Parts: sequence; C-alpha cells; structure tokens
Amino acid sequence: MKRPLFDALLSRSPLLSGMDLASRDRLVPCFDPRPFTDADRILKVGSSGRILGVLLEGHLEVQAREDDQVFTVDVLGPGDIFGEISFFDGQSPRTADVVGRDDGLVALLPWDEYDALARLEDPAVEVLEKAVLDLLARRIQKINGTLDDLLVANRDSSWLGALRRFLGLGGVHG
Amino acid sequence: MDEHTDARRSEEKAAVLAEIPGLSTASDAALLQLADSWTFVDLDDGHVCREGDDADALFVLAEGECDVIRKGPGGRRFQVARLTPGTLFGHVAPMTLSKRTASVKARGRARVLRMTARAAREVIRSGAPSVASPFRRALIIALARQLHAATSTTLKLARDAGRTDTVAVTDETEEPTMSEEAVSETLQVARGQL
Repeated sequence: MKRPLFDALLSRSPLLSGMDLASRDRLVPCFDPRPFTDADRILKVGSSGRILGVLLEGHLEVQAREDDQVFTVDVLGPGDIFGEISFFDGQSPRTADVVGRDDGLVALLPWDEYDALARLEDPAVEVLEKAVLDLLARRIQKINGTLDDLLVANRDSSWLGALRRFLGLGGVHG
Repeated sequence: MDEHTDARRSEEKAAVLAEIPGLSTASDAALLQLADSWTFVDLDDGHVCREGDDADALFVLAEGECDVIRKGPGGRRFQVARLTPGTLFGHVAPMTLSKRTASVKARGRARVLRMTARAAREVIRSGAPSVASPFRRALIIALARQLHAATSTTLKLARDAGRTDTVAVTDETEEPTMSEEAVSETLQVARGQL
C-alpha cells in the first residue's frame, strides 16, 4: 500500500478522525504501516517493545496462554487500538499475543517517535492521549452494558467468580 | 496547619501517587504539583463510595485494605475484590460520567487519597504537560486494564450462558472449530458491537 493511502486510512480511524488537522498532520507520519496475514504474530507475550497499534483493516485476535493452552480473550476489528498498556507504562511486559485472524493492515506507533514529540511538549501528544482516553472510556461504557446483561443471564455460581475477575484482575473498579 | 506540615503532607501524597503505573516516571516536582489536587481521607470501617451514587471523585488506597462490594441477583451483597495500597480505583465512572458500579468499604482503619472528578477533568484538559501527561497515562493504563478484564469476562460469561460456546479455546497447533459466521455473530453479542 502506498503511503498516501495508508495516511488517509489512518486519518479516518476513530483514534485520529476527531483530532484537529495540525495534530493529525504531526502524528500520522510517526506511524508505520504493517500488513499482516492469518496467524501472523504482531505482538508477542512477554516482549517489552513499546508500540501502540491501530487496526485499520482486517481482524486480530488477542490471545492469552494458560497451561499450554491458548485462549482468545478478544477479537479486534478496524478502529480498535492495542498495546496501549505496555506503550504508556513501559514497565509492564505484554500479557497477551496479538495475532492476525485474516489479512489486514495495522498502523504502529513506536514509543521513540511519540516520546520525541512528548519531550518537545508538542500539543499533538496531549491530543493523542485524550483521544486514547476517550476511546477506552467509550469502549468500557459499551462493554459494561453487555456485561450487565450477561450477569443477569448467569444467575448461578459463576456470577461471583465473573465479578471477581472483572473487578479484581486489574485491581481497579468503576 | 503550618507550612512545614503542609510540605510534609504533600510529600506523603506524592509518594503514594508515585506507586501508580504511569505516574512512576513523573518528576518529583510534577508529583508534588499533582498531589495538591488530592486530599487524604481517613476511614474506620466506613464507605469510600457506594454503588449507584453519582461518581464525583476517584481514589487511591494509601494505607489499609478495602473491600469492593456489589449487589447480586436478589439484592444480596457480595465482596468481589479486595484492594491493597497503591491501587487507583473509582476512575471509570468519572471518565464515563456514569453511576458507581460497586461500593468500596474500608476493612478497619484505612486511608485513601481522593481527587474530585472535576479536578481530574481539569488536569486532563488543561494541566501543565509535565503533570497532565503522566496523569493521563496513568488513567489510560487503568482504563485499559479494566477494559481487558471486562472483555475477557464478557466472553467467558457469554460462553457460560450458552451464547457463545464457539469462542475459540484451542490448542496452539489446532485450527478453531467455529465458522466465520459463528465467530462474527458470537462476538457481536459478546462485545456489544464495540
């Protein structure tokens, strides 16, 4: 894919589409295109590379491992972001693989590019952080509604375990 | 309170904030500045916040332990998590302008840091970059962890409820046994068409 087409796709993604033009123009060139195919591993569990990904085309699976088994814990579609915890924390190794489910394209923002802008106190950094916050808040709101429905549907012993995982895994709650 | 006590109190608050992922890389000066937006609240078996209330603040547990309690089917109350010092909590509802989804109650004596939702939004929107950026990053990390946990739980619950026994649980070497249509339908239900 040619760079102008990639830039246009990235600019239309939910993460960047609401930004002012100046911020978008600063951020878009910092992202690298990365095509992927089915079963292609984009991010690997345990790795420490700081990369923020934006899925532009296709689907990705987020896979966790337990007792030599691989569990799909999320499937990402166009517009979703990934890698944000390790990207913004830097001290958290990845807890899951991100693997291609079909053919597609991601935009990858390396930490060094972002950090260079941050050190200059470039306003685009603030715009990006606010956009990530907004995106995550909207996704949590939606999934909380789904979770409430499912909790009602699971009025048995699994209810408490599910809530414990939901509220306890991250050590945080709403 | 005299100036010396004020300064010591700010340092105590900054030390608690420095334990939060995302804030650990903030400068000492930035942490001290951010600390001005937080106040200590001492509890003795009291509630930090209650399920269903408006979310007007976010918190960090500084000392002691707190239980997270949620009403279950039939109105029974269940302890669903126990918080330990250094935990940022109560941050989702202020960010989404929604009601509290659980109550938090101190187990015996506890001390929490409290920041009003208004102050948090002010820092996010227009704080100095050295303060606002680490604070935004800390919230991003906390929100992302919450989202990942919720997504994982939702998929499992959906499977348990019989709505997605097709969620892929495979040996690494095996192909998923579900059709693409089943995957799509399943995840639309499970993820609320995110």
